[in-house]
Amino acid sequence: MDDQFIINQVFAGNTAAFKVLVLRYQRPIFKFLKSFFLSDQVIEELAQETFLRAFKNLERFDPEKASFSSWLFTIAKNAAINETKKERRSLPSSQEDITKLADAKSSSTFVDKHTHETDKKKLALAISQLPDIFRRAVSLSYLQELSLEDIAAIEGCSVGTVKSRIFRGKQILKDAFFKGSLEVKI
Amino acid sequence: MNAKSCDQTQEKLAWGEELDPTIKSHIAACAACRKFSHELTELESLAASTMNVGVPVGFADNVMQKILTEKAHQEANHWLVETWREFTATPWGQAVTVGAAAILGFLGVFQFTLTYLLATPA
Repeated sequence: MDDQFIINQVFAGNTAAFKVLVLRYQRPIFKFLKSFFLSDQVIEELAQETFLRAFKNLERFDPEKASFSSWLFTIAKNAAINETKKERRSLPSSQEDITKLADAKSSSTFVDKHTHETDKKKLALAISQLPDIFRRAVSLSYLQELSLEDIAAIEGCSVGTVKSRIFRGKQILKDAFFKGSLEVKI
Repeated sequence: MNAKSCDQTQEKLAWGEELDPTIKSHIAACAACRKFSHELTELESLAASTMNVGVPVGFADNVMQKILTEKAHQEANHWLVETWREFTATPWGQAVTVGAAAILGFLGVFQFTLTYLLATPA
């Protein structure tokens, strides 16, 4: 069942059919919202708000302009941006933190599992420090459910711009992660 | 290695595009691009586990519950508005509306006068 078929079902009065869309997109939406470094509770609230808004505004969705997934991610993005404006992200944020984590990795005598956890934290920190436009593009590309065209529709820019942001964003991430540097030049 | 080929290869790797045979053979021959590819793959698998997040049990049911509750409210409001419209369209309904408006207007003027008289020193 493709998204449009389900949407038509909802328009025909079968509200319960919307649950198929919620089940289909709940995980990618949670993952995407996680890239904004919000608390688990806020992520859940925003995910809920995203689906409620989508349902309320379903009549405004135009399949000619964008796919349902990119429309849904745009709603999630706007909700998350509004939220991050309200509450500043609570993150470890200094260059020192990254360097410390890099050192921890190189001098680590812990078992692999611990190293993996350290790496995850280090990557999360590096992602969190990316400028917003790069962070969103990279996070959306890591979701894998979305094409470059979808990401461009979500970000409201051209595919070329998305490609450039993903490439630049991943380069910065790679340098931050493997070299412990985060010198962002836009 | 040709810097232009390296740029193109690394861009394609970053975009996650399918690699054509030319690019693949470039990667096989170029140490810098192999390193780039290896590091990107490592980051991607790490990102997959970093971004992995559990969806709370019953999330979809909760969303549907809210949607159905909201829809029921909307339908109830819609029914009230429609019923009121139909009622006020009848002569009897119009008479009741005008009468109610007149009573409310009278009460308003009465309260205002009373407040004014009480506030004015004798």
